[in-house]
Amino acid sequence: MNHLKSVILQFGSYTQFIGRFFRTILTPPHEFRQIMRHVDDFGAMSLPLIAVVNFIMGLILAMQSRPTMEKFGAAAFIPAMVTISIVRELGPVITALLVAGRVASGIGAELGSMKVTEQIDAMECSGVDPYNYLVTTRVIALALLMPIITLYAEFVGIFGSYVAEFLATGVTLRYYYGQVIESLTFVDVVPGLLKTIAFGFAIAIIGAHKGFNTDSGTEGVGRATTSAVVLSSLWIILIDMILVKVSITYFPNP
Amino acid sequence: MIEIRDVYKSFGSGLRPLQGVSLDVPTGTNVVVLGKSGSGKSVLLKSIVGLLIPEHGSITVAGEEVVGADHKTLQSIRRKVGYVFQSGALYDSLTVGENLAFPLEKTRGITGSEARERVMHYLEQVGLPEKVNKMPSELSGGQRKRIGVARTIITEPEYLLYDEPTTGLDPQTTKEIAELIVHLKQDLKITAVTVTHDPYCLHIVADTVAYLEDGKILFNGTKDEAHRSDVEFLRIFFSLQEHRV
Repeated sequence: MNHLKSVILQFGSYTQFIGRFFRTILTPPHEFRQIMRHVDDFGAMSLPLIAVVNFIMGLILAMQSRPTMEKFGAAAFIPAMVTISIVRELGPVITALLVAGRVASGIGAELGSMKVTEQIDAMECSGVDPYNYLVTTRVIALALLMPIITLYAEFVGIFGSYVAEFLATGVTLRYYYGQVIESLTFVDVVPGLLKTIAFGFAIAIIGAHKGFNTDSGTEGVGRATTSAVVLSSLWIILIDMILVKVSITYFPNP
Repeated sequence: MIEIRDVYKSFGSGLRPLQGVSLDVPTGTNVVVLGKSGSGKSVLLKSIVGLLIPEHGSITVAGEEVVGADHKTLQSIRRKVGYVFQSGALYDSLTVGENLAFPLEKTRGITGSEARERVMHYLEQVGLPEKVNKMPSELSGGQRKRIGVARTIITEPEYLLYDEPTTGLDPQTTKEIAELIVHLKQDLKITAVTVTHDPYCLHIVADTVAYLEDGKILFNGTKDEAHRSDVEFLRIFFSLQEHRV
């Protein structure tokens, strides 16, 4: 019973927190400089890890596919198969999970520390809306950044698959990318990128909510950081499941 | 003037720190609030500035009601009231200069050379102009508190709320902070409420003393009256003061 009550209270708290985002986004001041600072920070925080992981993922995907595809005489379809897997699903989801690990924990820890050291109270006392300055700017920054870093991650992932194919067959980069471009359609690229905006929103909102509601000192900051990563990872998978269904309905395969 | 009338505040955990608190803070005075740890002194300060909302009662600051105030009224009240936090509450990601410039830029629209001049002026007031480019992590506890005071007074509030301004400091720094509070009251005519456990700080800064226990103000009077009071906490407090001052 207590668990159910806690779930309902959490749901109410998130609803209120998200509602506040949509209220503050419409009212000035709009902290553009702060948004750009966060875009810069989040990008710098995540890009190296995303590049390495997506490169290796593309490489492994091509290496794993080759024996089976060869068995069915379909090795020529490896670029198309790997590309569509990366662009439609693996690129957005793996990138979002990596960003959740890096950025949700960062937001949770930073805002949590600010909460327990009364910096958020100090900001409120000085007449600055801490939600607008600390939360809204981070949510907008990450929602804007996610499609860009996902595009970058997909490019690096496809390059990884090319390296695997080059080592296996000596295929040229020009030919491989020709095959990649030929296999892609609007329906593969755009829904995949659009859903990353929802991922970015969820990651930043969950991280900020955990940070903003931190208590019990440094122990609370640790808890906020961990649960920000766990919860945002879970929500990425749930949102993906819902949006895949939506995209199949509204953007059926040609 | 700050007028607090019959204020009640409780928390979900069952804690009821304020149960009918009434207190007047006349313009130009510094009222020191004493009480045991966890007696609700900080809750009272946070209620004055609207960080916590009482369930019942009335708090007016310069005639404006805090309890039940809308966002706009709270903003107007917060322009008049400064809050000096126990730890200084400096923004970790900003330098000392940026910490001071932050409220100026965000709430008064003052930027550029005017902001820089004001920042240096108030850093000089707290005796730390050379720290302008330091990060908060590079400062000692006493320096953080002084910078916290500078950041609060830079917007020139009419009222200041000090939450344990000298706790955890060495005697020299305690003396400097206490003298700074007196200096701000005399030079800038700031009305203040100070929460402290420090007998020396009380001795230096208090015009009147209020004692909070069981959610109520049990004593409110001058320092001399507090000294002669038969409230046990005050007797112990002043006997400590005699030993230390």
